[in-house]
Amino acid sequence: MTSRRNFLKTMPAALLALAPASQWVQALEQRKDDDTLTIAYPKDIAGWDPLNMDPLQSVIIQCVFEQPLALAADLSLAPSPVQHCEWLDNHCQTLQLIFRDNVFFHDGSELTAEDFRFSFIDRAKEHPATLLAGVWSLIDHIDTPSTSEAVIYFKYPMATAKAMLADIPAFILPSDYYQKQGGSDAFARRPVGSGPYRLTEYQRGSRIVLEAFDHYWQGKAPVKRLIFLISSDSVARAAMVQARQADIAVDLSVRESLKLGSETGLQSLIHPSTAMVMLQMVNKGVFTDKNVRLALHHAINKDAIAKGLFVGHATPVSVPAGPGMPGYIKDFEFPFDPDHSRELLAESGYDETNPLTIRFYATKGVLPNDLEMAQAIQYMWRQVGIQTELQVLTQPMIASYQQQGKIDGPLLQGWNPAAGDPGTYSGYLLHPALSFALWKSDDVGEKLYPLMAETNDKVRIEKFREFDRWQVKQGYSIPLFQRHSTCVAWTELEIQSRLTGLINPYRIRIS
Amino acid sequence: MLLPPNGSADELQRLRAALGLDQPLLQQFLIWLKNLLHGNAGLSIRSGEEVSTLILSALPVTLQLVTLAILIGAGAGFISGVLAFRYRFTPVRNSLEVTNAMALSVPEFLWGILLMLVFGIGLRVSPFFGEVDPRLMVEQQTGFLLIDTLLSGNPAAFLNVLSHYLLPSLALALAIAPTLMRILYSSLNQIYASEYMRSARLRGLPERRLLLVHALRNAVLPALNLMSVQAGMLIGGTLLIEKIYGLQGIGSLMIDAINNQDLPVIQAVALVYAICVLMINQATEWLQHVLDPRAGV
Repeated sequence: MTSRRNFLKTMPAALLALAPASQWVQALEQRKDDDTLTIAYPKDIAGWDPLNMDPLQSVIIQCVFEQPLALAADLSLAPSPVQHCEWLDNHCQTLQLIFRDNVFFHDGSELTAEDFRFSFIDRAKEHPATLLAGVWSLIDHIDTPSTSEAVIYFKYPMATAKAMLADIPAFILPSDYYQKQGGSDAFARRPVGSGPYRLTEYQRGSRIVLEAFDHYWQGKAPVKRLIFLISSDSVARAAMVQARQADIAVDLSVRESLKLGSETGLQSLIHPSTAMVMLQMVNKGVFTDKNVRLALHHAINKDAIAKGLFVGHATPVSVPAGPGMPGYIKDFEFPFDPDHSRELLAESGYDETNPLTIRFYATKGVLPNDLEMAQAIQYMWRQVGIQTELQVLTQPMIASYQQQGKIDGPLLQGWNPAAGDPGTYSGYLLHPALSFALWKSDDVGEKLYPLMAETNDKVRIEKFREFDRWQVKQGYSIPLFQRHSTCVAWTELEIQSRLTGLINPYRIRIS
Repeated sequence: MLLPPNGSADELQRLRAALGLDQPLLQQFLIWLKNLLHGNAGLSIRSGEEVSTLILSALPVTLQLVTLAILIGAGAGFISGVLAFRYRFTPVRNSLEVTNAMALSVPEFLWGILLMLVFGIGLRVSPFFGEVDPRLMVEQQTGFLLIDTLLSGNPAAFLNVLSHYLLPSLALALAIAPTLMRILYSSLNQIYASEYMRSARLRGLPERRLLLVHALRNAVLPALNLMSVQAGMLIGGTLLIEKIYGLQGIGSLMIDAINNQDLPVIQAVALVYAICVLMINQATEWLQHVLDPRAGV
């Protein structure tokens, strides 16, 4: 039994223990602010001077910086710092941009045509080994006749320039501020853009805290504070949204998204995106035989893969475009026909006694279920008598293999130009002059080059549809799926679904 | 990796020369070693930042995590060992043994996930991502957030940081506490059978004094030895635990570097791991010498 003496002795100690405990509870019970949005995000940015990035990273970058052109949810052009854009010639080499007034950077300076010129010419020259320099290497020079007008002169026709000005990496940085800071590294420590948010805290690989910019030209963002919690682990991201440590979790697996979406208070948003999955073909060895290429395509049951691996949340496609995208062809379908596949192989002299053996390249963990997809395709090919040696490569290895010309079989690739312009799919992946292309042939060049000089977008896109129909029938590429983007959020959030597959935090509303 | 996919062969050549990759292998190694001795571990292939800067910003996170894990693990191991021995003829010992076996049979990363599921998602009593609530601004002075929050006189932030470290430290601690308990228990058993303990008991010393003063001091030495080995393993365990709990320590840095094939970072982090293990071993030897001056250093 506790004596009075013992009680008096232990009381102060108990009180001392309780004092921090109450603070502990207080610390844990920090209520969610209505004006703060926390996003569990899979990827950190490469740096605050946006020279290199992928589409996922561009979501964060777009909060702080702006592109000359912007995309609406349906891929049409949305209001952007450039209010007018047109070709001044008839072969896509001279592009005029008129900038709107009253677009301000976070340091208070006004965005001008000179900032655009500096961002696309000077920075690219200073950093030649970057995506910025690579994508815009066709720019010869940029004239700025006034503070609100820029004219881009391209070395060669670049009909995709408008699409690329709304894609990555095409961000406008303040020229004076950048140079006053003393270069890229110093700028990256104190970045300034004209986007809806300004950076307040950055911890590499961990978190990014952004505050709404009061003088944003489209109006102050409704969400005052935006926090990105970075975790490459999808289990951790799912756990964060489940435990309410994040309001939104991005890029979970379809199954996980559906499971979480069925829980009370959570919504699962799964929408088709502009991200495509395809097999890039190579014109080497047996693949120079059209029958072989078409046999490979006819043997793949895309519906079965979509259902089996993505619970139906991947759209099988016959050209590198899905429904809603400009390059989509509604009445064209490349059929799954294993019998015809066997016939084509037999025509080329391959049968059970002389099976076709090929190498097949894929990644693991770069795309959702990429290795599983490759294994399913490997199985389907085996069913028609094609033996495959599957090689799993990392992304740096793919780049290195491509540079060395070591890829000698189909490559399972993801491709995601946000703007969805067909010129940025097969227009790049089959362009004989670009290192992206694995299949390089003269007949492709003959058909492709005129398209890259077509100034009328409607005509160009119609011609690209014809081109894609032709190149798929030739077996130059095997389009597989239109990927679906995934996002799980609490139901009080209104999140606009966008065909780019990327969220736009500026458009998120808390109801 | 450093060039965009459309980089030209000339650019590739220039980059190889700039990185010294066109030199013979031995020369490349000597250059690396010389730079390292001057505190220059090179540049990260992925981010272009100095590797030493990356390590210096990540190291405090791992050190805080490991320190807390050692404190919790050693505390739990010693307390449960002493309790199990003190109540060795009661059900207390059996229940501690069962708990011990359970803790040992599950690897630390799985403990990490289980703790997150139970206390983070299920009961929602503990945060489980990052070092601190992102809404709290903590002025960085030393890089050690636990110290920085105290220096800035912000107890709420200190507790917030501590609460973020609790589950990952506990997951790591569960890997060391059970073995410590077992070693301590068997050491105490041996020591209780020794002559000097019998003499002490015959002199009428109370049981509590016998255990805590006379037996424990000697029994702790083998346990301490084991701890130095365990602490080395603990540092390896941070790799997955940091990743699961979103802590940007050298474990996360290593995993990211492996994923990105960022060799300069991989080399430097491996070196840091080796140095940490050696330092822990050295510290344990010193502590042993303090507790038992007969043991040479």
